[in-house]
Amino acid sequence: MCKMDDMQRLLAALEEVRDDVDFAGQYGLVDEGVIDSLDLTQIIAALDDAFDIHIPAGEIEPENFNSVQDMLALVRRYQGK
Amino acid sequence: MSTRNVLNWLEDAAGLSPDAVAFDQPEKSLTWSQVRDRSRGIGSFLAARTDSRRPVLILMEKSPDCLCAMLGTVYAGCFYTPLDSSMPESRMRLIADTLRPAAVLYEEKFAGTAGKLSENAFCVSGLPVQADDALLEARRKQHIDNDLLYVLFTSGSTGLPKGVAITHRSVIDFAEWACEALRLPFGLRFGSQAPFYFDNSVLDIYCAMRMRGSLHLIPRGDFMFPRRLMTRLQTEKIDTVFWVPSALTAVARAEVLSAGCLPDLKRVFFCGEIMPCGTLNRWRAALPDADFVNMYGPTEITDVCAWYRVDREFGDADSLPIGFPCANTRIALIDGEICVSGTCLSPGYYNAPDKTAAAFVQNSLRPEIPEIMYKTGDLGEYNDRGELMFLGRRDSQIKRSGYRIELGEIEAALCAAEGVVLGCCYYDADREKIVAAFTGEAEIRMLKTALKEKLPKYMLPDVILHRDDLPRTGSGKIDRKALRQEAEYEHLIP
Repeated sequence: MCKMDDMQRLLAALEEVRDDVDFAGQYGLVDEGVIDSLDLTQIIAALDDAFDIHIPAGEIEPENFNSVQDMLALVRRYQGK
Repeated sequence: MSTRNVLNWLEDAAGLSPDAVAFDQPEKSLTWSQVRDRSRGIGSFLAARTDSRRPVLILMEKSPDCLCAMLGTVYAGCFYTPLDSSMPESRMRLIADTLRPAAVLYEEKFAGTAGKLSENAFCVSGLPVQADDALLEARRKQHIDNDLLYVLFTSGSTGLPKGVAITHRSVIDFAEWACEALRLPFGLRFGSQAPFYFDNSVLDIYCAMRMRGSLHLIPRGDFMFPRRLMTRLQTEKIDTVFWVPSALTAVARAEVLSAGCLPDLKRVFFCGEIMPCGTLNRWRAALPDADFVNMYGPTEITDVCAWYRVDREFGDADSLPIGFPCANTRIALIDGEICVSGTCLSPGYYNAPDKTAAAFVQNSLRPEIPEIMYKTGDLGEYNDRGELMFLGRRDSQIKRSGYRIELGEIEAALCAAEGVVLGCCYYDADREKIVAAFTGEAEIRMLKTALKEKLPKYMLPDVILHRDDLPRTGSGKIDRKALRQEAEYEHLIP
């Protein structure tokens, strides 16, 4: 699967959770308080679904969710595992 | 002299431990004397502009300053309603319509919204620090302990939030019970999770004050990240927590607990929803010497009316008792429903006599004398040991992260949306999802936006289904059970 596909899939999954946030252009999603704990729970569930992965609770750290790039890197670590 | 006003405790703390930290968060800390002085300043300003016994809305983030605004309101002889700043403006307006506040105290970033809620909106940071001693003294003299201390709003089944009014007397009675029964030491350090618009915060605030301890306001974001939260508890040397079970469960699931990981934490209390024994067991394994207490109670009875100190082992699948009534509180099971009487009772819902009359009723077992009971709507039974067990709701109220949600409030918002002919919802407890279904021309995306403008985030449905028809019962009502079966059969719920 090519690089673009994963990013598009990620953005589509995130849009389902919060359609009022421009995820592609936003940094500091956690640190700036753009997403809250309810969003985060839904985002993790959405990533698990969209990529058929399981993100363990120990990976739930702010630096993994501050931007789409961070989230994509997280997803990549669990793809194929 | 017995305590008739919670401010007596603030003044004792400020007199006896003036330089001890009272309320703090990472970027701000106030001592007890600073809290007293700041609150007196705010109270003087308010008292010069409002009558006593009037409601004041507080539109601020959880912060030491917010607590000063709340206590300043009390100095003015008024009562406070902290608002969830993230709720939609339309819901804030519904609350303001019910409350008709004498003033709104806000922090700068909420100026625009605050101005729409009252003509008397004041930014707290701009208020004078000088106290008017004579005016505050006059207000104090008028005070009786049946005066209201706060009104907290909860979800209402008709779509209109209900304002639960609570008096000084109830909070004093409750905090005195809590300090003794929970064996709280002087100078304890609370790690506060509950927002101030949620009544679990009442124990945090007033027990910290009564025991001249401190309340550390844990940043909300920490609860998203268990490791960060653990570090916070360690570095802040938190010795007492009173959290909703879902916050404790998030930590337990993240596998960040180990024996000796939190050497300062001596007391773990919880309330607001069912505590899973699996969570409890993981915490007990990490903190074998800590005191674990399960508590139960709706906002209408001042935070907690029953409690159970964990005194034996439970299997992960067992149910934890809610135990026994608090001192000075009576619990009766009438047709299985938990009914509460005592000093803890709210006098009623603010500006809502019909709703009050429906829930606060004469004790039918004692017709000889007026005795009001609050019907909780919760079902209970006693186990073989005589401990009270919580069995669930008798209506369509649900709990999510400790928040009370009336499905009726979601349905009211759904049905009011453009393009919706019929709407209803149910709660799928196994999947922890609120499922909404509707008929009509509305687009799901537009509908989501419409709901966001009316409902707080924790009430938004997780799944919205468009249906050509909604199943009906024999009497013509929407059949939620049948709807659920259809949704399950068609695999519509992820």
